[in-house]
Amino acid sequence: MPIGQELINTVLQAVLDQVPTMEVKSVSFSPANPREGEDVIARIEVKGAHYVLCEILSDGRLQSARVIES
Amino acid sequence: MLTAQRNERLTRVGPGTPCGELMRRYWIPIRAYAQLLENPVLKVRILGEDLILYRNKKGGLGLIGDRCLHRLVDLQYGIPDDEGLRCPYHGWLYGETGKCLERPMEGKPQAEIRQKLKGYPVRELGGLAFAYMGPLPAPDLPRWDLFVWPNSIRQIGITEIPCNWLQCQENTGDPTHSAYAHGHMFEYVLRQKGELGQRSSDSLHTMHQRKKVGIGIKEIYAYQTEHGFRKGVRYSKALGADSDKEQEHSTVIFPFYTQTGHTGAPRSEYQIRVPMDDTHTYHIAYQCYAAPPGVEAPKQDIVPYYVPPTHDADGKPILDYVLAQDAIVWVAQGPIADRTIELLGRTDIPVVLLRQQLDEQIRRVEQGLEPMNYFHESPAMIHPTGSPPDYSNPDKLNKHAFRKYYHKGFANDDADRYGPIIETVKELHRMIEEFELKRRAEQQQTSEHA
Repeated sequence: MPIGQELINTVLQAVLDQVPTMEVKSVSFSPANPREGEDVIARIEVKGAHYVLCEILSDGRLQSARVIES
Repeated sequence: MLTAQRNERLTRVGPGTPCGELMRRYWIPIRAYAQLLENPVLKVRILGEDLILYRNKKGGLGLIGDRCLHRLVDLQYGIPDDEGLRCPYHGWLYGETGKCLERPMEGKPQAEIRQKLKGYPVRELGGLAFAYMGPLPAPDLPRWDLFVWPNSIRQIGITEIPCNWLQCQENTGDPTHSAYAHGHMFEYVLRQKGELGQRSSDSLHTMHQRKKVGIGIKEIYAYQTEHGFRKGVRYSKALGADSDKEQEHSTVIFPFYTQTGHTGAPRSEYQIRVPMDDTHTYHIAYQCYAAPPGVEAPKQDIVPYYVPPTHDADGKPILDYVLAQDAIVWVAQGPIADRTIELLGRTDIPVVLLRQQLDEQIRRVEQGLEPMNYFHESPAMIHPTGSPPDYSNPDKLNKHAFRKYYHKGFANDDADRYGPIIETVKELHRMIEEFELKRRAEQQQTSEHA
């Protein structure tokens, strides 16, 4: 079972793989360098006029997801 | 899109499958109790298993394997007895655990046989018969609020839908489908029938409201809650919406419920998507019509059921009510939607969360943990929306106003129109409107005096 950043990346990949119409430009995290056991919010900039926020809990659960017009 | 492996994981419900094992941790509504009063022996197919639901002569319920151990006769023709169900062929008697209690004509004393039928616990709540098909001991049967809400009347609409359960449930993770399925398609259908003017002249008509769902979207959100997840859309006037506002969509109750309308409202509903097998869903529209304090709902001894038709006598789909509009698009995705070739967009983000939540809960069961909404002891009433109704703000109770005015013709746009108590519901809605108008007038008078 992956932990930390690896776990976050696995969850994000599972989300983004499902939505191929969203072309990812960049991904940033808050906190920027999450420690193990910390929840994170990933901000995914996609092509077009919107971005995606994914809240990922430390245990790998996707707590929330939102698409917002820039 | 999903991999073929993940699509299988989330959709298949037979014994031993990952999702099937998850489903077997829940009490599953399998029939309206009223059906058992009409016919005490019913053949059912749940999670890919063929079973017999029966009510014995003392009123006890059982759910057992469908074939007599003796000569394999289908027990749907069985005879209810004091303690169980008898095979119609030679009278072998089975109890609720599936154990054979008696083999007439096989001599006495009878040695106990080690073979037994499947036997699952069954309980009744709110007019539904629930079964638990998982490892024992069974959890407590959750008392979701619409099943036990006081001062209400209820009816149960049942539809067998020929597609996988997840297609139905993903619909509830999709807050924008209303714009077309219940807006533009509704308009198209009414126009074709020559009923557009007559049916949608009122601005409250659902078609007008739903067409606006896709206009001026600023944000689409979804988040997990204690009992499932909530989602909705935030609108911006700057982007073309008629105002800056937030519209929450129906509430998802894990694993296969969704709630529309608030508990305590003149009309609220659980839509329950019970997997019969991989390619069929037993869809229950559990409709509850509650009266506010100050209005008395009629008494109801038995919750009646009905079967809203999805096709007319010529086999053409009926598309002029909301549930039928949903059902046609679910079935039109195929028996099991091939998610390896789908192409999701930004509006599908809540669907992605729904799948992720399902996968997470499957994984919990695989790890030997209890999944969400597994209750050792259910509270007396569970509010999936998180709060009881606020009767001081009746306009908020039914976010779609047309559903509190069934007496004004709006019942015609929902499956409820086919229900056996619809005329009583209309009368209740008329009484509630009268009460609210009177209360509003009194409040106005009081504030004027102040």
